[in-house]
Amino acid sequence: MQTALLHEPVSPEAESTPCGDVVRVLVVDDDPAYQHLCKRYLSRHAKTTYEVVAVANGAAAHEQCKASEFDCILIDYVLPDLMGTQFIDGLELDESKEIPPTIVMTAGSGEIAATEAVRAGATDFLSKSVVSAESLARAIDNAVEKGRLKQAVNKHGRELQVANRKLQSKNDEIQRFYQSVSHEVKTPLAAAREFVALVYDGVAGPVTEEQKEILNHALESCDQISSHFNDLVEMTRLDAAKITMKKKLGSLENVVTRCVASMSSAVQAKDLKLITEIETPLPMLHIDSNRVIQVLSNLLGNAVKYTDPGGQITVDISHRAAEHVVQISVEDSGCGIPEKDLPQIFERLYQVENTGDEFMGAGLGLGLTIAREIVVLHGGEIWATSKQGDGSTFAFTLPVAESIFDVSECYE
Amino acid sequence: MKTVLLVEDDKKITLAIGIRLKSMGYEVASAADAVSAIAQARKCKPDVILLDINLPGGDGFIVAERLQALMQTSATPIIFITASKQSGLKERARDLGAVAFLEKPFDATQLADAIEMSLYSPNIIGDEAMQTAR
Repeated sequence: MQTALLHEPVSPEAESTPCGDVVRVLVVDDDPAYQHLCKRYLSRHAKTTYEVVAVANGAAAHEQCKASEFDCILIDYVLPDLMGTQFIDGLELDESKEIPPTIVMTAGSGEIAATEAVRAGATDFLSKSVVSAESLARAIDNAVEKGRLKQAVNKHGRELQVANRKLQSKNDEIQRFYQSVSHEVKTPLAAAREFVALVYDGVAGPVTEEQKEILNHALESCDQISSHFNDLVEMTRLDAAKITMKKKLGSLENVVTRCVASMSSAVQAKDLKLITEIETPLPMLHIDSNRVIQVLSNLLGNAVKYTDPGGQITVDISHRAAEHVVQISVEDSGCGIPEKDLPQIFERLYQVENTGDEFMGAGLGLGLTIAREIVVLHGGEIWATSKQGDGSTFAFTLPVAESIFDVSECYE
Repeated sequence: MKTVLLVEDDKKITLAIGIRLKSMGYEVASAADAVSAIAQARKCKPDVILLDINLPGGDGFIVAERLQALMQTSATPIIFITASKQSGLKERARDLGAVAFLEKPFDATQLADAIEMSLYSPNIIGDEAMQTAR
């Protein structure tokens, strides 16, 4: 063995052998003649040095595997105490130890035995009847190489799992962080808002209309802060995939009515004309109503915000039967969005560059990103078309429920 | 005069909501932690309890369970108030039989609606009542 080790490095083919080291092989066969044959075949090999340990049964093989490391195991299909295929199953090693690549040797050409062997986790099989010095060494080298690759893959797999778990827990941590920041900000904010509201409502004494107007701005700002924090928490929950859609079979009419109603005071305040066009009958949809309301409220809210007093907003719902979707669009006569910004407006915290336009300073924040996530979680699409100075249209689709029978939840 | 027990650890919120409740014509009692919440509830026998979820000494849900286990307070309607966006809170509140769930900041109308509903029709527990503040 020592001679071999001295020879190895100078051998020009050393690189092609597994690691160029000694390959430790465990032969498990109750036939002493076959044990001898294996040893002889492998000792002849010029390229690689094989160190062969031979045992006669499964129990002895287990002992050997526990006591030392092998690069490859050659095992007879039929052993006195067990089947060669049972060997891998029964092999209990430390978690740190990998089971060595195993070649099952079959007596005949036995295809069934071979299939069984591979299924049981054997790396390869070899028919004793055709074995030669050459084929034995090749099978071992291949098995060792395969084992090494498998080990590398397993190692990478484990590393990925660890990395993935780390990322997941980091994500959870970020989510908890935002949640607690949100809580810490909203608590004093709630107090501040209430103090302002108390004065506004005249609880602390009479207030003039002018004072009320100023206080109202303060209230609106408070609500804005709180809604921004809600969006932030919502976004991190979406990122951590913590939000699931509670879909039920329902219709959109109800959703639209609720959204339009909640907007009515803002619409009146700006003297806007809000038109609703609903194609009837609309097919049933499989939706999380509260979430769809959130999307539509966001689009409507933007439309109200960016449309000048006296302008017009149209909510249009139509059934695109050929595509099996219902399309909801919100069209406004507002200031519009520059064409180059359209592709990015759904990206988080994207703000249209400040060009002095009224639209620009406000920033779109996270609302549209959240809207997009919700639409995507419903299997729909969302997009916007606009011409600067000539209004915008935001539209999204929701897939039509294929049949009321494919829905497990109850009818809403 | 109806009494509202306000359980809230933030002094400013206690002050603001306290003023609001008095302006609505309620008698106000308050507690700033879980233990004194239970003691106060036994002492002043409120008609409705406004209960914060994040509290020192045990969260609002634990307080609610204790109150429901006590004879004097077992039937007192509970309105949860919270600034937390943690998921599942509203569901837990509903499971505990809370009359309403208000997210801070909430406005006076929401507060008045929730209290009136809990005083006059405490058995209506619906989505409408559990509606969160926006």
